[in-house]
This record gives sequence, structure tokens and C-alpha cells, in this order.
Amino acid sequence: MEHAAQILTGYGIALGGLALLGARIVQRGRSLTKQVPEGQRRWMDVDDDD
Amino acid sequence: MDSTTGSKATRLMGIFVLLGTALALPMALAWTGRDVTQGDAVRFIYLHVPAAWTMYLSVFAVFIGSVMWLRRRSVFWDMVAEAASEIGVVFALLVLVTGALWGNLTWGTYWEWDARMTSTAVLTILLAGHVALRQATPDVDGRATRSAWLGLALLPNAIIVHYAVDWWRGLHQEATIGPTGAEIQDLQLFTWMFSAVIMTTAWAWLMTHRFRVGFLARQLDVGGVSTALAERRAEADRTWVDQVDRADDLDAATPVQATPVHRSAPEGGA
Repeated sequence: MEHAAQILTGYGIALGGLALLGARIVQRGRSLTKQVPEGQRRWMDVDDDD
Repeated sequence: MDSTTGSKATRLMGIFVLLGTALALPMALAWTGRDVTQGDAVRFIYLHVPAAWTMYLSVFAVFIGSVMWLRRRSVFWDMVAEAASEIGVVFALLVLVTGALWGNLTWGTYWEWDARMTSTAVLTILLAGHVALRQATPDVDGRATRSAWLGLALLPNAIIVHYAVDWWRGLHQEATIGPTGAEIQDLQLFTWMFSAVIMTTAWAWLMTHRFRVGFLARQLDVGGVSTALAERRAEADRTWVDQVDRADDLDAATPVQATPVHRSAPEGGA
């Protein structure tokens, strides 16, 4: 593949960026969930997690 | 197991995105053919265009959320706008980065003040401004209203981004797939569409989780205000009781010319 370095860099940045964003959001959710009383979590169920 | 913002639906979406990405990568990077004029640089089309599509989706979600907040004061839609702008910034940055890398291979430059590129940069700045405005305004309603007005400005800008290649002559190529047909066929077209489906599902997954994070933050915000109010009321009650006790002591000490004591709760004490 020609220009493999630039093409793979682009794919790496995109996939890595999205993975980081997803991990950060899930981490924030995990942290906030611990602070919210159980009755106000609505959709959350400890047996139904990611 | 810790509780998270996940659910069965998000878990299914996540599995689909992971498996789909594992399949789409070899399709995009190896199985599809090279382009006659662009060579292997065409492989950016499977990444850059779906990222642009999801950027448009984010903008549309921010716009709808803003309209619904301004018309109906809908907290749900305000949280949708909040989630969409944060995710939209990332997708817009991906569009700019992948576009610059693609442009360097095909045009020989990472950046040109072309109408499409410039308007995309402006849209990215507006999305980032939307996020910053929300974080800079502590008042919940004021934050929603100010960001909603900015959110309204995003859609016209996105329309300019989309039609910039038709309205102005520039370096950026015209749409690969349009109303008159597609310039790619067969496996290239399938890979492009498949990548768009994967990227859209990833966007939906991120949106769902981010929306729930916003919901939790709001719950804590509301809960925090309630707690502060309760503490303020308790403090005011304690102050009032102390004042009454002191007045009673004064009555006992000076029985003939006692000062009349007003024994109602102080105004604004709660």
C-alpha cells in the first residue's frame, strides 16, 4: 500500500480518539453513578452493565 | 460489578461496533481496490466521509435540542444538545485531521483556505464554543438558554459546509455520492456504506452514554441544591431558637421594663 504511514496514522488517530472519548465518558458515568442515590439511576442495574 | 451508564442496548451497540470495525478495517485498507487517480489515498474515504456524516448528525441533534429548549424548556432535549455538542467536537476534529492527511496525499498540502475546509473549521470552533459556554455558565437555565441560541447558529453553518463545494470553486472535490449517482461502485461502495453504518452506531453509543452522564450530573446538581437549601433552613431555625432563648433570659432578668420580643421567624430565613 502506498502512503501506508499517513493512511494508518489517520485510521489510528480516528479509532484511538473515539476509543479514548468512549472510555472517558464511561469512566465519568461510573464515577457519577456512585454518587447518585439508587432510586434516581433509572436505567442502571448492576446486573445489566457494560 | 460497578454500576455504569450501560444497558443491554448499549452493550449490543458496542459489540456491533467492535465486530463491525474488525471487519471494516481490512475491507477499507486491503480488500478494496486502489483508485485510478488517487491511488491508495482513496482509502481515507471510508473514514473521512462517515466522520463528516456523524458530525452533521451531531449538529442536527444540537439544533433540535436547542429549538426544543427554547420553545418548550425541555430538559431532555437540553441534555441531548449538551451530549451532541461534546461528541460533535471530536467528530469535527476527526474530519479536519483525516481531511488534512488525505489532502496532503492528493493536493500536496495539509491545509488550504478553501470554502469547505474553512467552513468546517468554523463549525468545529462553534461546537467547541458550545461546550465551553455550557461549562462556563453555572446557572442551569441560563446555561441552557445561552447555549441554545448558539446551537441555532450551527445548522446554517453545517448547510454552508455541505454545499460549499457547489457554491464556491475550491480545492475540495465534490460529493462522491449525490442525487445523480455514485462515483464508486461494488465493494468500494459497500465498504463506504458499511463504514458509515458502523460510525453512526458508534455515534449512537457515545450519545447514549454521554446523555446518561449528563442526566446523572443533573441529578447530583439538583440534589446538591436541595441539600444546601435544607442546611440553610436548619441553620436559620437554629438562629431563631437562639434569639428566642436570649429574649427569654432578658425577660427573666428585667421583669418590670422588659423589651417586647418579636417571636416570629426572620424573613428570608429559609
